[in-house]
Amino acid sequence: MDLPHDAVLLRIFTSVSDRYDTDPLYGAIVAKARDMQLAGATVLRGTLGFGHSTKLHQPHLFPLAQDLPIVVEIVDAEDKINAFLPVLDEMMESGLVTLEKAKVLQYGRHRAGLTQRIKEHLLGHPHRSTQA
Amino acid sequence: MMAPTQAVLLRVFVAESDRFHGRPLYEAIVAKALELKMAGATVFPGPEGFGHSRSIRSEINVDAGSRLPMVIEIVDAKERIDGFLPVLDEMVATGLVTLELVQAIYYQRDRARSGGASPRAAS
Repeated sequence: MDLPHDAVLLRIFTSVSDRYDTDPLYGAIVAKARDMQLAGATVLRGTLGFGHSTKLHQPHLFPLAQDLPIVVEIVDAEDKINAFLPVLDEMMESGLVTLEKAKVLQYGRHRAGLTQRIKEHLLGHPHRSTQA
Repeated sequence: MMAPTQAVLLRVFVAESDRFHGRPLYEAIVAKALELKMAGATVFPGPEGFGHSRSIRSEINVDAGSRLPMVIEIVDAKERIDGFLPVLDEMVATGLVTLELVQAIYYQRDRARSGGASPRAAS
């Protein structure tokens, strides 16, 4: 499996308590991403927050709720991400999904052309990560 | 599937020990975002980092105290983020604030999965 230099970063803002059937939503998203052979997925845990998926996540105020923010990050080629979005759409009840362009410099051990890519990047190779 | 709308990701890099009117700054920023009805906010603690002061703060360095990094992320429509920036400016004495354009899909469905975008998504 390889990743193109021009890729998309998909981020899913959810919470620890969000479910997909009986499983934690974030776990189900990671499993589905793996099933669909996406390049990878990373789950990040927030310590405080609020959003559509939840009320204020505040461990100090609601020690029993454990409803803390979770963000799942997936980087892959645009077509792979686009194929994943409808699947994700079926799983999401509340929360936020964002998409942004990303430049891939290394994936696993494969980093052929890394130096060249960095050079191009520094020399002003069109970098559109801030353009949606 | 809902179509993504253009939005802005605001990230604020501060220290865990930064205070605003006696409470943790990151907490004050989240509370202010909630008060101003921003779409959402998320706080991520960082186990290590350095910033403007050049001192490396690490979880495993006991001298670091609570100067550990905290990142607050807020995603909302551009005009709402623009409206929040002056408020943030009043609160953040030292730290870093970044903005990036993202495509956003907001989900807020009832339990029956009736579908439909949130009011914010339509704005």
